[in-house]
Amino acid sequence: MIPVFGGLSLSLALGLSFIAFIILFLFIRTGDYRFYLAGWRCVVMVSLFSILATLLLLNELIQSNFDVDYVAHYTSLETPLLYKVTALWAGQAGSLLFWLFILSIYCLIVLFQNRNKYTQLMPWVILVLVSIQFFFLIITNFVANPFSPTDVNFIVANGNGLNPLLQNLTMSIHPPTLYLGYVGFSVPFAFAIAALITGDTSPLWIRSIRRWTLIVWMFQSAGVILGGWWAYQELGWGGYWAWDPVENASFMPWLTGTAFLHSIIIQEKKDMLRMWNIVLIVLTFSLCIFGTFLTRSGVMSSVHSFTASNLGPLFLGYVFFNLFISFGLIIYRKSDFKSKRRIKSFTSRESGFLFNNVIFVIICFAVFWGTIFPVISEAVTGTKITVGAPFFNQVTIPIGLFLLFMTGVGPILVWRRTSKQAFIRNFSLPIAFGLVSLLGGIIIGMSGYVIISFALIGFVTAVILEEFIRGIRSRRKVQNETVITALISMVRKNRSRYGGYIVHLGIVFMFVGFTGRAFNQELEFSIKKGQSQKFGSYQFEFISLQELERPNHFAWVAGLNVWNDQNEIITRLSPEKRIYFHRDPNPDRRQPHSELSIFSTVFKDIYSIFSGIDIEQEIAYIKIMINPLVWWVWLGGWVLVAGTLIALWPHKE
Amino acid sequence: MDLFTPLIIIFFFTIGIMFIVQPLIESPGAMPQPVFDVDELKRKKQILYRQIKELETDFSVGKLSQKDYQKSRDILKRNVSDIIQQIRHTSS
Repeated sequence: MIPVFGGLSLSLALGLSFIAFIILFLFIRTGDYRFYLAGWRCVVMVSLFSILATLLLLNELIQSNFDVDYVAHYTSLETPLLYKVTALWAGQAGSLLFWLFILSIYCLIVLFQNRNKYTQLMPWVILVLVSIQFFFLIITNFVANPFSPTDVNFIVANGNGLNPLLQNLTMSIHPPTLYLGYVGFSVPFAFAIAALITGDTSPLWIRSIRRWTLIVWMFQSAGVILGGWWAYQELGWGGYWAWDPVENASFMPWLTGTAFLHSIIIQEKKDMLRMWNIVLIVLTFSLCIFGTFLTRSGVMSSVHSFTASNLGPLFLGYVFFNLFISFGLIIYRKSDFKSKRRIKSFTSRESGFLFNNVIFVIICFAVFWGTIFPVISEAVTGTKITVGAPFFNQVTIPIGLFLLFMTGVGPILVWRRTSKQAFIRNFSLPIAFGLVSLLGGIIIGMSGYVIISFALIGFVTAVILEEFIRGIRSRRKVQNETVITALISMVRKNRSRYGGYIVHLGIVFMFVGFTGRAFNQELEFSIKKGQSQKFGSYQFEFISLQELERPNHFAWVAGLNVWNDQNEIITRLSPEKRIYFHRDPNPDRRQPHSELSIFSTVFKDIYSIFSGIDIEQEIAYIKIMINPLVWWVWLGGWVLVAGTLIALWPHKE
Repeated sequence: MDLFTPLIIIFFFTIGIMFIVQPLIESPGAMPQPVFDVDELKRKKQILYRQIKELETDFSVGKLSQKDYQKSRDILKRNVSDIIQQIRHTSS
């Protein structure tokens, strides 16, 4: 009965979304407020039915109702409860329903938050949002219905179970976080389209969507970082970013979204870059849909893509449709959105923001080109030419370092024009810090991009510290407060500014981690119980081999004592070799999987992979990687989220 | 499907439809019209106040010259006073 309810909820939501269109158009034509209210309520119902459908599918997953094809495909009786829940977004139909679910929650928030606000904009905002819902409802009703029954001639005693790579705690957080970001960009996009249609250039909605964008940007950032964390902990190649198409798909909207977050400040403060902001948000939303297309279409082979389907043309068509409508409107409204003010000087803060924006867009274009190049090359020459990590690194490392430089320069430039005196006052300390870092790097034998990166890290850190010190000094001068009180009240009263600086600090920390990759080392060896292997300044002693049977897998657990050069045990690593679906009588369905064990410190990670086992000889095949400074990437991620939360924290009007 | 299922479906469907249609069967005069103008003006005023505060912070940490600070502050203050006038006018 419940799958019937689920399917019916989706059908009703689809029908009502169409009715909502008609009613809201009637309001726009007649101005009769009753139509607005009815349309508003209609979209509430669309959202509620979509949420209900998702909850019903979740119930089926938890209950292991294998009469539903999706449940039989992505769960089994042995699947732990947590992973039965996460199976909701493991497959295509479920993940598209999950997209719709988050969009519906966002829709409800927008509807209730702005019920009596933005008279001109809201009908169009609701129309755009319901049109996105309509697209996903068509897919979930007709193309990838998560409530489709299993074959009537086939009794399913047990389901397929969830892919072992997805049975990881990070993987239960990463997709929803990323989706909260992806889907969330629908809201600023809807406001931007509404503003284009109505010609509204007022700062009111800009302020409102800036806050909204910041929230979804935080989710997007956390999602991207968590994806890296999952790859690092689960995939066993020792890295967190491989320029995989699906990774790129999440990174591209992040880049344009970050550019948008910066340039919207200029529109708010200086009423400049109006059209540029609209272009950025249109690109961001389109890249979010494009990202879903890359992940879901199967057009690209990826370690992160767990489904393949015929959805590609539909998604691509939708991306082009959105771009066509949006850019049509942009051209139509070109003169209305043209800013009256111009950037006066190359050394102004405004131009600093613009530079930073251009760099973000250039990186995005480079990543986009590298991502779609295999598809284009196949279409043109018939041969798929894959663009690997070397291309992306070659292009993005220098541009990324320039972006890091701009992260430091931007905040210390002065609005309109930076005078010579202001330049000396603001730049002296950071340049000195940068030079000291550069010299330090040269002394310890660094070279190339590594040394540039460390010099820039010193420069930007000094900028951030200087900004805090200057703020504290200025407050102490006026309020006569202690340093701590001045710091707290300064941040409290200027949350977006100082939250932003903390985000920049997080980015600096992440660059420390990225730079550490230049010093990675690895060794693969076979070892018998009781033997030791030396690698770098460490000795790895294979002390035990345990066999464990857990509910959903069988595991061999290797015990490795790690000794340092002072003959002290610093940690014990326990990498595992697992066999999922080990009870399945069909050996082809059993899935081997290496579960890593990582010893993480501020300076380096010792990363161990149990890659194989010879049971008769009691030989384990182990791979060890020494990865310096990786810890800083994750710390940077936490600082970035903390900074965003500070910027977002509500304050009294 | 048992008899109970269609009944539940019909019940929820009817409630949903009634919720949507209810504003349409009211007479236009009976609907409470929201006071949009004053609310939007008040929000605009808040934004301008915040912009003045941010301008002061920018000036105090040396991100703005005295001349630009004075000019921008004057413009913002003028805008605030215009909006206050509009609020008074609309409210009365």
